[in-house]
Amino acid sequence: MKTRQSGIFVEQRSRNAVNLSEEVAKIRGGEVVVVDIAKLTDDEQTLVFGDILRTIYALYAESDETEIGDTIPEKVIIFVDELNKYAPPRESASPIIEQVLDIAERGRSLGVVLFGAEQFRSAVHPRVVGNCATHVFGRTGSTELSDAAYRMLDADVRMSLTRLEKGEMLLAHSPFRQPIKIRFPRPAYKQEGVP
Amino acid sequence: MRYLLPWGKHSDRDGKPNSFSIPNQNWRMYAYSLQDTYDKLDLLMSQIPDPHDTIGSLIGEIREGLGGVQHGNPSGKWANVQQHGITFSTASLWLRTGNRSKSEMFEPFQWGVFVASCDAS
Repeated sequence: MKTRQSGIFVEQRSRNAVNLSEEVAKIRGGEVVVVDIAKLTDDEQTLVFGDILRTIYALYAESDETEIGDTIPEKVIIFVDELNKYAPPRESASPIIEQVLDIAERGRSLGVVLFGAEQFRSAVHPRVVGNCATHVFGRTGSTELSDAAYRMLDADVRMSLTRLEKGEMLLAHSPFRQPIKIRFPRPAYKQEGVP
Repeated sequence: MRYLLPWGKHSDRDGKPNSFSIPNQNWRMYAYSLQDTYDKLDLLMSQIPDPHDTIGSLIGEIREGLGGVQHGNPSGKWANVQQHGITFSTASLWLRTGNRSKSEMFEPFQWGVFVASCDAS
């Protein structure tokens, strides 16, 4: 029987390897934890991402108020690239979609915030998109913009998305009546006058 | 900043993680033993289309077959899980039909549906 795995599954963890969920649960305020999944297979990436979501969600859902801010941070931000891979807009539920939906729909009240980045907003589960408080759009093609996921934007704004320059983005956030254009500063080494 | 990098096939020998680049400091390697994973098998199989909710039953069956799960300490090995019928690759996932002795609880139509879903993916 053939298997395809990167080596992450071991019969017994050596002293040099830690249990990921135990390690993630040790997060403290102001700390950044980076979990590398780049060289894992798709199934393994899903396991690791789901494990992190489940661990963080349980950390907050099962803790009492005195622990929050003391032994665990007041808020945790989970940033994931290619969110569409884990929460595609398919109708049938899966454990990973359920996990992402738990965070998207109930995480905010617990202090767990999910930042997702993806090429196409239309490729993300509608309940995840619907629960986003802040949306940031980059330059987008008109075919993608014709999807229902962009219905929240006026026709004029949608058109302007097709003409954004490199480094320009459109930020939609409820305190602002209209989306606003933001610009990423050029990297310091490319700015004029910077030694 | 703390980095958690995946254990690789050669990490035992060279002590290096399976990463494109290794930070200078503050990094540790993570790995999954069966004891770490037996209650997360559903996540591992999340990418498999399962419109008839067959995988949940299968996972329950696998966990029961491991033994010691009730005490949080499964006694099996990864090889046991595979021999029970599943390989951990969506593309090549298939059910072993040769040894169903432990899986009589499943109705044949359930197996059929599962295999069909996997073939389609």
